[in-house]
Amino acid sequence: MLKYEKLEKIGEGTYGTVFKAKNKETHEIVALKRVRLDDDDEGIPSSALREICLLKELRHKNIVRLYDILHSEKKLTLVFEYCDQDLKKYFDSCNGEIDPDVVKSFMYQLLRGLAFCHGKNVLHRDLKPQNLLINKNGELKLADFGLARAFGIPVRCYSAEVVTLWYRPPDVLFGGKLYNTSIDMWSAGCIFAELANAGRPLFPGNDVEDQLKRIFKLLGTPTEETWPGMTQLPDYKQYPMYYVNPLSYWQQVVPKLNAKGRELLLSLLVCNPTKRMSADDAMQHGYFSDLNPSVRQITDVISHLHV
Amino acid sequence: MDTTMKLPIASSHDARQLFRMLEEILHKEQEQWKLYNRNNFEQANMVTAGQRRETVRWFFQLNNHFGFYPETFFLSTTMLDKVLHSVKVRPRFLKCIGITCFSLAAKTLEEDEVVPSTLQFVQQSGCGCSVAEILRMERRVLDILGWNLRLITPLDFLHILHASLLSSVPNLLSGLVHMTPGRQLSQLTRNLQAMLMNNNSLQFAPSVLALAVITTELQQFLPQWFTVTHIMQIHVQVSDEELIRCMDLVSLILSPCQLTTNSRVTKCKKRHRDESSAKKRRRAEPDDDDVYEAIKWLYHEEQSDAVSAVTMVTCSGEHRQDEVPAVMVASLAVAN
Repeated sequence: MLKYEKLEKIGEGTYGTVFKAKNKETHEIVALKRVRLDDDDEGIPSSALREICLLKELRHKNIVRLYDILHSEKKLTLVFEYCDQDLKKYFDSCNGEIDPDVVKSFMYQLLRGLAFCHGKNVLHRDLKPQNLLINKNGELKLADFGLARAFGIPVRCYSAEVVTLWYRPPDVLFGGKLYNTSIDMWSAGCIFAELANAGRPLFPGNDVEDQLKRIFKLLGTPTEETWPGMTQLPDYKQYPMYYVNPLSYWQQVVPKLNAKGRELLLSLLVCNPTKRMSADDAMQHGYFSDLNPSVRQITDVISHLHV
Repeated sequence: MDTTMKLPIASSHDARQLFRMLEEILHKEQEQWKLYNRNNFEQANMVTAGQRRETVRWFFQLNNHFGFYPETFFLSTTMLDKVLHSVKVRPRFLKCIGITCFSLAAKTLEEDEVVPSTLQFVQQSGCGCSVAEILRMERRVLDILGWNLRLITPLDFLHILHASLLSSVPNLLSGLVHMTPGRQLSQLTRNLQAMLMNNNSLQFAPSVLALAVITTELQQFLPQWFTVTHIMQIHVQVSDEELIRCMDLVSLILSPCQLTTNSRVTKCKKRHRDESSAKKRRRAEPDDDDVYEAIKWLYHEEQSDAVSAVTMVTCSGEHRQDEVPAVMVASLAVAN
């Protein structure tokens, strides 16, 4: 740990405290995620283990880089690339106003990071503004892969205890355990609306029931016709029959988002998981046709940091 | 050549996706896999071949006991072999290294709610070491493996090769009685497990083992097995000679009962069931017909039916064996 000088505490991750630190030799700023190991008898927490394994393979401009792993008897320290803030803090600082071009850029980068994960057969499973990091250059990076997991053929039954409530898709809220990449796409949709509304969450539910009610009020209550198999899900319960709102209604929900953007949003916020748009397809959506070319370019600025 | 057959790089999106996955794991295999020479296994190691075999058999029992997916068995074994190949291990540490590999594999692949505590591993595995010893060993094993726990196993190849096989030869199982893609995959998985328990299989790369197990099975019932194998062989890039050597080993290791065709499958499966039902299993292997609907989904046959079958699935812990179609290609959902 002598290699780094701790500067300040940034926050608490899923399984440890995060510090801003400086490499004493190179003066590079990094983020240190410290995991205490002496608290219990479980060794390296599975979340840390999965995050390390997956991040070692996920090298992409829109995914936070893991530089190094420092492991001693008492603690485990993960050395990450430093980002100035997360999207949640960014929301707090922007006073209810985000430039539509910034919304577009962030959303595109989120989708690109996701498309990369999904292409590598990895589900993030905990997308939310706190887990999206932003640096000074306006780059957005997916972080906190503590709940992430690899999937393959055959797909297995996974945990339903994933994704923070507000960003959890209806199929998982109903106890569905046989999900795939569509789980992340719902969260991406929620984050898109939140970006467009400069930080106002779309579905800030208090509990599972309230969460589903909020979703159905806005999108209409799904039926066996629109979502075959819904009523067979483990925790399925009947909800009041809300009708699908007309498209014009969405101008009130996301007033600053243009028509193309609303169309994309509604392709992601689909209750039936099999009908939800994929990250690859979403990147091709017309909403991004006038995206700033510099965002689209993926000239990787490789950091000179070698820890 | 059978006209219904096409290369796995065929036009359909599924096949492309499978081919991409195959390319990726082949690439990883080249990075990760080193030849374990059977003859110098004991020279390079203080652990004997017999002790290695016993440890892998123990993994198999533990995997059933804890109700883990077959993936966990394969990853534990691959980790163990990697450790044995990297450092000289004293036999008295073997059980401790073994249970550590097994717990690391479970922590990586299984969901948190089904992974037992270290204490439970100690109490239920008969490893004979303490929690503290396992935790110390965990650090050591992670150092040896350089934290690379995503090791390619023969099962990764089996899944992809089998899926592309069914995708390129849609009528593959049509001549067989009571055979479904799910059943066949379960049988192949068991055969591959049996192979892994034999030290002689250490000399073959994961891709070769998987291909040899599949080909040996195809030989039993598919007249044009040779052509089909040849195509897969091109993709896996294995020589005739090596494949034949590996297939010889497969025939040697697997009893006739394990090489199933037609009606014989019922008898063997029943035996398997009797054995396994005696064990406490929180989770079943994905076999039988329940997986079939999902496989149809994978190959876009009767898509609408199958999709509903998939979404209708309930998965309430205890009885997942009966309810879960656990096999389908998730990667397909990453649709272009």
